[in-house]
Amino acid sequence: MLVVNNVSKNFGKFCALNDVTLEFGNGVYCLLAPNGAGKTTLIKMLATLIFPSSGEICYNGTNIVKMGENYRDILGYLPQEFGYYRNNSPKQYLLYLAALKLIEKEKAKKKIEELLELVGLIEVSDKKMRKFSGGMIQRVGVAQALLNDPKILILDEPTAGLDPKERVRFRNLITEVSRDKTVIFSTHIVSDVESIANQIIMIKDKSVYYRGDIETICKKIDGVVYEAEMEFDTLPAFRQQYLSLSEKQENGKMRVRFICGEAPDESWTKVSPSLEDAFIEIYSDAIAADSDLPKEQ
Amino acid sequence: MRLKLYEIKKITASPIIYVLLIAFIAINIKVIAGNTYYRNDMKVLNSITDRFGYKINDSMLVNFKSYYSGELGKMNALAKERTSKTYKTAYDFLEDSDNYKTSLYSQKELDDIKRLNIIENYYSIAVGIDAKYGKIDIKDMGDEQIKTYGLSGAAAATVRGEYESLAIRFAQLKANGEEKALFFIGQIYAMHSFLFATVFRSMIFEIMILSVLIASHFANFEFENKTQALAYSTKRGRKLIYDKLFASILVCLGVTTVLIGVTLAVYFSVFDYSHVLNIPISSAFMQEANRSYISWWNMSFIQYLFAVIAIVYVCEIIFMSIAFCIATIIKNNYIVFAVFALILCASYMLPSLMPRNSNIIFATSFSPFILVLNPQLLFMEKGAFSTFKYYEVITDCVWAALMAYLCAFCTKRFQKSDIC
Repeated sequence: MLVVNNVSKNFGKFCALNDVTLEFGNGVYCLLAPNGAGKTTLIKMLATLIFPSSGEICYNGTNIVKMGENYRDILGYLPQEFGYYRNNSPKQYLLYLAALKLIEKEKAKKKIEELLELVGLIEVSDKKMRKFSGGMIQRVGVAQALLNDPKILILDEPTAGLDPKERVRFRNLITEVSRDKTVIFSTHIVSDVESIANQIIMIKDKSVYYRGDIETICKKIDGVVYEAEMEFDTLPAFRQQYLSLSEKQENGKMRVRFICGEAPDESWTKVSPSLEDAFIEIYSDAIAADSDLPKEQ
Repeated sequence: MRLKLYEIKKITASPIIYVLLIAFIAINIKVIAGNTYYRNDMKVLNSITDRFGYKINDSMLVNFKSYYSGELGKMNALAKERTSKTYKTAYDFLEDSDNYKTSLYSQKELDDIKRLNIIENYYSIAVGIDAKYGKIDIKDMGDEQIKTYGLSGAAAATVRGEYESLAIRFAQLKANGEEKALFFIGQIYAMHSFLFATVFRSMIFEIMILSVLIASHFANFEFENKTQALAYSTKRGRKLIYDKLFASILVCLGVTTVLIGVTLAVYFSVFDYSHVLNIPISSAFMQEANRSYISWWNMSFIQYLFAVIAIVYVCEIIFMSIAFCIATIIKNNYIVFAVFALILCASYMLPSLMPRNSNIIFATSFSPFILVLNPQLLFMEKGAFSTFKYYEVITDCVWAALMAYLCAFCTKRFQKSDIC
């Protein structure tokens, strides 16, 4: 059991995370939050790259910093920015990382073959990685995270920059390897979460806003999500009044999905809320603050 | 060991180091090649040492004089036959422009007389050694240094003390006859300063540049390649910094060996030192301009050469360590280089900022940066601020210990620092 106990992290005067408490057992956990919320900060603390300003992170009761290499031995980590040596082939690079993970050379060679097969890169195992696409590089990243058969697998924004086909492949891979492991991945792509996460953790205002399953968070906005069709020229005024979740052109009109807490109009259709709806509603203040759209009168 | 080998291989990702190494070797070879015009003249010394040995004593001088007089007689016989003239010395013959008229003398005859002139120079220096060294007053040299640099109080007392010790050594030097040994004439060929001041000093600063680049390359490799999050979260983790330090030291030693090895191989293939390897480094023949080379130790040339090489190795490791420590804090190779350069400049300026009546001025001179400024004066008298018997040993040992501590401190600090 990986436990985060009242952890805060400050970078100088800037507070990145404040009093975060979480527990991770076996299963797939998703850290879902917009950019800059503190996901990567938390993940880096779990990977012992940065240290909490206060609080501690423990694995089976022992502080992970004090555990040192014993903790990192059971850790597999794919960073947000997966760096690699461009002139290495995946085999060469994975052999080097196996050396860093203190895996014996012969054992490593065997494992690398298996992993490259698993991620679908066996055909290009000796090709230089500078010729690889983004998806292929990311697959090498997943392979290296699994080199040491980790008990804790941490993936930071693993599907960022991947096309839909690669994202599906990735999700299936995670599902396959996540048995008897703690898998923690961070994302702001809601569709990734819906497919594979057992539990989601939402971070807002530098703290844990929600921790639980997808159904429960969606129920929080049950009954207030509607869809309606309207003319294009009525849309700006409508947006001023209600939180628009999505907009789509249909049959010469605009089909808008939105949240309304008041009594609905007759022409509106009540719909079941999705995780994306909940995400937008929860982070609507942050989205409005970041919005580039000019305010219309 | 596997990890250390992987680390060492990372040097292949920095072609600038290979390019600079080759460029520096090429520059050194060019400098050596540019001074080969007198190498044939230098071979005359080999024939003298073959005939008389290198030690100058009364019997050697008698034999040398007899030989020289015989050769001079042969020259005058030839001159009388051709021009009805005789000369006091071969130099006088060569100064007479009439002797260069076409077909008066063959090229071989002129070359023989030039050779005799060289022998003449060696003989005249040999007979004048006692008089020259009799005039050297070491204590006066110390007083001159005190006056030149405006030293007073404790600083002046220290200088006087050191020069008194040197005077004892000088007396010992003369008693041993160390100054009475043949070597390439310093006043003409300046081989000691060419090898140590020109060639060695160039090598020292070339290796210094490479050492700094090597240290920052290894220390910042993961950050430059954006693999730091991956590398430092593995089982080896932050301890990888020790493998990087090991690789830096090994590659620095390798580069030092290649640069010095190739340069000296070229140097000694061009200039034949085979007859002078065992001559004392304090030979009077080494004197250049008005400077006599007075060593603290009774060392032969070959021993001196190896001692200087050892000092260079230690100093380069010290420079590499300084750069490594800077690189554990600053993650940008250019800024590491700039900070190192600032430290270098500061170390040169520091002694001039110290009060001239305090011994602190000497403490600031015990710096490897100042130590390598004048490699031709290592283990020798070298002015007010560095004429200490154990100057080189103390500087290297203290700084090596200091850098060992600082490297341990910086690598330990790295274990506890955030990796963003």
